[in-house]
Amino acid sequence: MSRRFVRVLIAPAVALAAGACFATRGDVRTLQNDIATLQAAAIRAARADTQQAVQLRQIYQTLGAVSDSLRLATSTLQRFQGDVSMSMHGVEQQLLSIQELTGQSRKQVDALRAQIEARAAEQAPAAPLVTPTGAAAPSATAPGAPSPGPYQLMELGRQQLARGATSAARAAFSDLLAQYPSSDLAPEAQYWIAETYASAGSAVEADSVFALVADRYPSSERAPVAIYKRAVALKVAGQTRQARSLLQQVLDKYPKSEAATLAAALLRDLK
Amino acid sequence: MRFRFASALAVLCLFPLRLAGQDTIPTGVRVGLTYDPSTRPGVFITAVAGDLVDSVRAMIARNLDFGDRLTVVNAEAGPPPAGRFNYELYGKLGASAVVQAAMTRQGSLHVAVHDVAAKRVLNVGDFAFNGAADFSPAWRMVVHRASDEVERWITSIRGVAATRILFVRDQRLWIVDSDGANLTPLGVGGIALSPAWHPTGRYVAYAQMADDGTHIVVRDLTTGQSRRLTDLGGSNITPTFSPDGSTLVYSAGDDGTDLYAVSPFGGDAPRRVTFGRGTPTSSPSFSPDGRKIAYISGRPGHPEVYITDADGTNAELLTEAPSGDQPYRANPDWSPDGRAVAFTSQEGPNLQVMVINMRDRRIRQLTGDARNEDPSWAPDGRHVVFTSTRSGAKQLWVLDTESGRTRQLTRGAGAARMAAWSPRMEQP
Repeated sequence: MSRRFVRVLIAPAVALAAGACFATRGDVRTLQNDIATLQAAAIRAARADTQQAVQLRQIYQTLGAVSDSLRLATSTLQRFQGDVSMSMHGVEQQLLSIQELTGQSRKQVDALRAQIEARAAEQAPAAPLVTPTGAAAPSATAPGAPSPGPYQLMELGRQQLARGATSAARAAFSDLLAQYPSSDLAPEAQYWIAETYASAGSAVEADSVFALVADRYPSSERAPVAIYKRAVALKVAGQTRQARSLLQQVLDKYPKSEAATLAAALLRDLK
Repeated sequence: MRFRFASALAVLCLFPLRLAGQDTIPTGVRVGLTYDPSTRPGVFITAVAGDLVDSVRAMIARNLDFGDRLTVVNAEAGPPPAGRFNYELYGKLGASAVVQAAMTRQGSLHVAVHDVAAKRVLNVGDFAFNGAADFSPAWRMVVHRASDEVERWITSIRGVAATRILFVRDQRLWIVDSDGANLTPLGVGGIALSPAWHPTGRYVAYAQMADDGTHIVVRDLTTGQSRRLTDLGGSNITPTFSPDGSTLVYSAGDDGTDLYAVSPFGGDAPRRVTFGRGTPTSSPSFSPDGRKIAYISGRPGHPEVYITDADGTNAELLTEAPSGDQPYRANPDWSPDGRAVAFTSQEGPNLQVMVINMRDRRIRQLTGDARNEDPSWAPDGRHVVFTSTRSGAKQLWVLDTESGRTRQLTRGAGAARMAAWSPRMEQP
């Protein structure tokens, strides 16, 4: 069976081989043409590849140039941002310096006012010391002496407090409040009365007067500080919940004050 | 010449014996020893009986001299006095008090102070060495404590001999006794700066350089253990303890610094105390009541001394420079009596140590020779240790702010700076 099958296959193979051996000239030429065509196609393809490579290179170069431009632009932008930031920082620092100088000037003006008041008081006759309710007020100045002005009393009170004479300081601030209740310095005087109690270690009294500052002069610069002081005292006493509540009050009512910055920091600490 | 010297020596040696033998003057109206701060009463220190006679006497004499409140009238000791005291003769020598010390068999230093005018013993005390080896740091501290008590008995003000001074030399921490003796490295690895004492004298805090910046470290001097207090990198510098020891305030930040308060023994997160808005803020120093902090801030455009309440409120410029002036001011240190703040100030081409009176805000210049900086108060509120180049290199010097008298504390190679005077050492 298998021998017959082999014989059947051999016959066409021999015919094919004989056919190949007897190929005509035209066949060869055709074959040569085909080869030439193939070679030309290959050369074209190679040329096309080269062109593509060149184009790709050009694209890469263009991209590189774009990238460099972008980098340059970014760098310029960053430099500009840095310059602006530096300028802003410089402006901020200058503003801070101006604020400090303004603060100093204000203190110097206050001291000057106190001196003017002292000179005026030397020339003026003595004024009676009477509180708004008509009662005699405890006085920081000698009876019969010319009545000092608000700036003079403020200066006197601060000096006494710096010496540690809390009672004398309190008397000066109380005089200021009693004699000049509508003075610009009234909130300051009230605040420093609280500080005299705090300095003397009288925490309860200090707390009540700090509360009075916030209540009586809510729009003064001292109000947020007074509330913050109460919160700190409560924290020290271990009354954390009440302290938190007061700190939140500072943040809600006086968000732009320096006390609010301190309150935020302390609040974070308490949470 | 030799005869003269020998005669003088003989007189000196026999002097106490003569004094002892002539104690026959009757007692009259008692006039007690009254110390006048504007004077320096004379003190006669007798020789000390025992093996370490000269050392103990010399130490007490030196300590009383360094205290600047008393004048030691006898430079030489001679043998210890025997018998009863001749108070009148001591009085003629210019002594208001006589200090008599002896080493006891129980291992302590017995000290008696005599009131010459009252012709009686003013006070006595025993100071146990507790087995400390002779001339060891602990032994020396016992003698220093005895000296301080002597000063207190006579003047009502305790001396500061039993104190130590921490400082930085070659970026390492060193410690030295207040008389300049017993100089030893603290044994802290790495670069250390800005040392500060805990009020008990047991702990010190300092800034230590690390790969990610500087950190605050608290070291227990008793156990030798150190603990890093700050977790965040960046600049954490110039620590200081509150007077009750419960809070440590330091400067921290990268773009500008601020003061932060934290417990020195762990617990709370750091609480911000100042808001310098990008300006440098550093070098805090507490007032003795702990209610205020003096510090340096660049808010005016140049470093100035500020004070603030310890809770961060009422920040106030303390050292006001004349308009247009741009001085450099640094290292404020609040005096233990609360009356003054010492600081460094640029005066012309040099830095000088200044002091501002907290009552009237008047500034007084304490130094004038060469470059002087980094003042630190002694516990007596009278002496200040500071860095000076007056001897050539940077060394530590001690200044008596009342008399202006100075003495050199450190010597040797390497710049000594950033001194911190300890509280009184209650334990050896």
